[in-house]
Amino acid sequence: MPDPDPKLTPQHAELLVLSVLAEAPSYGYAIAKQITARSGDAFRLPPSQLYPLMTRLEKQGLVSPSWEEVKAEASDDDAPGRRRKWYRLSTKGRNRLTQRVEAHRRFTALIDTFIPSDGALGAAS
Amino acid sequence: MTETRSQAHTSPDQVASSARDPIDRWLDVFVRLLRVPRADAQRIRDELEDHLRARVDDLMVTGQPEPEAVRIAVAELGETAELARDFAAARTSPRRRMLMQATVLAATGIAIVTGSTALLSVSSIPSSSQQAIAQNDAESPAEAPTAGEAEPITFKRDLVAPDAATREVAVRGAGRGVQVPAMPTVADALDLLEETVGRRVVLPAAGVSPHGGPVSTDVPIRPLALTGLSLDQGVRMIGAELGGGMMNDPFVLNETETALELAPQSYFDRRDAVLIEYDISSLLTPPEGDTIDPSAFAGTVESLVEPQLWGDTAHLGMISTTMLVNAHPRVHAKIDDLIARIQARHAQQRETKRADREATLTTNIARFTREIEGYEQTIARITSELDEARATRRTARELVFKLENQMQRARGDDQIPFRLDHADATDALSSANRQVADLGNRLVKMEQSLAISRAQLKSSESELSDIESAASRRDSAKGADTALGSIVNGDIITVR
Repeated sequence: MPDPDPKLTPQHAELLVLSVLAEAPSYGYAIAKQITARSGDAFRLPPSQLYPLMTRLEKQGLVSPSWEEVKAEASDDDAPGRRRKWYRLSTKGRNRLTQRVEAHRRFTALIDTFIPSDGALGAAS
Repeated sequence: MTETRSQAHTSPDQVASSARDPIDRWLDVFVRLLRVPRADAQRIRDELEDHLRARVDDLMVTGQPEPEAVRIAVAELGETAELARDFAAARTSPRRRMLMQATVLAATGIAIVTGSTALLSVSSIPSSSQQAIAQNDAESPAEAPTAGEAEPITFKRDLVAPDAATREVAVRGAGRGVQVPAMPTVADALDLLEETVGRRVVLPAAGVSPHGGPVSTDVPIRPLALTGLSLDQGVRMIGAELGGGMMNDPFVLNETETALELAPQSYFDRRDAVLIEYDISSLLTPPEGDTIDPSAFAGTVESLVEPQLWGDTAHLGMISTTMLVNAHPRVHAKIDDLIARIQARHAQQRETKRADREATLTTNIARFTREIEGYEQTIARITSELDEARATRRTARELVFKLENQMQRARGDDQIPFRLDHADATDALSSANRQVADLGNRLVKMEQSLAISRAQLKSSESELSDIESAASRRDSAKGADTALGSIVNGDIITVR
């Protein structure tokens, strides 16, 4: 079992969403599910965080939306389905992702320089 | 992604809404709370509907019945008004949000506890979201520290007529007028505001002037020394020149998708009023004290939440235990907060009562247990004494029978010793009978007391167990229940 519900910072949430979309276009619910599943339930992006984030990403031109009609399996063929909003990573979004990834790597590399080696940890304890 | 992509880029108006179900009703309320243009609201609604229905499908696959699945899916979205606010905030740039905060908070002069309106978006959005916005817009590196507080907006110049224009003023007795600096106009004031905040500033079409009609932008107003003043101070001063801006109803800037609107607070309060139905039945019966009269509750709301508005730009009516309020979303947010505080207090009172009752029951259980042990010991002793008394009685009875036989067989004076012995034996038998009866009575009484103590013990244990399991159920259900505060049962919102 992973750590209980570590909180995603806004920057990390953006990094994860952009990373998921870099692999393939997706829609809100699927993005959240994928983040939960791939983190082994460690990260959850609740709708209250996900959708405002998607709105901001769209507003900043980092993702491009498109709509499709989705029908429930049991529904009548003639009945109107519900509308699903798909997001695709834009070129600007891809650039942003690259920046985010580089910044993240720099940050973790810096942190790593402070962390004692396993041997030192053993000696300390 | 199992669904087929049949009709990409559908227009928002092409798909009719499905049958009215709890999700539709929740979405109706949600959209009503969104302060965004209609077309955008429809798109947000569509996206959330897709989320909710997909989530419900998933939950039902795991075995949840549909009503429960709907309840969970809606609860996961969180507080309706807060979500609507987050959506509105996400569509707004940080400068615009800061502008609105600076102006509206200062202008209303109200301590916001948990504001939740579009007007008060900055103060009310969660700090984590504010952080997100600041960082996203600043294009900061992923791990950079949070951006600091933004600089407050101030006026960089005074409100004067452009280009040092002059106008002629007639002077009594003089043949011609004298030239004095020209007066700035309303349009100049709007230009100055636009220059200061970096966004288009407009007057709403009607209802702004003291006469309720539109203000003409070419009306001259007095020049104002605004340089260095804060935005809210300047907005008030300009508002005063426009014919309003009384101390209790200052001008404020209200954000729309396309511009900032300049008008008295009361104008927006009237225009943006929303009718919300509050079910206050549970608030009227506090765990401690007397039942509260609904009209007294309404009076409390009116005296605690922006008292100056009621009967003017906000209206409140009671139907039985339902409180109907037609007011600006800002006012609803404060009512929500008040209700939440009352509920928290009731919960605290219930918790205190529960803890007290639990302590009393625990003490009682210990006492009943001790009593039962005592009764059981006494009963054992009495039973033993009773056995002995019965044995003594048996012996006495046998002796009496024996002496009676001997007396029957004896003749004349020979009977005398037997008679004396028989009298003694009969006394002994009577005494044994009395003892047996006495012990029997005591035994019955003890058994009755034991039965009573056992019943009391059982009742106390059962009540304690009920209290403990109720507390446990409350703890586990707390998250979902609080999130479900705004689930809708009717066409309009039912809060808690």
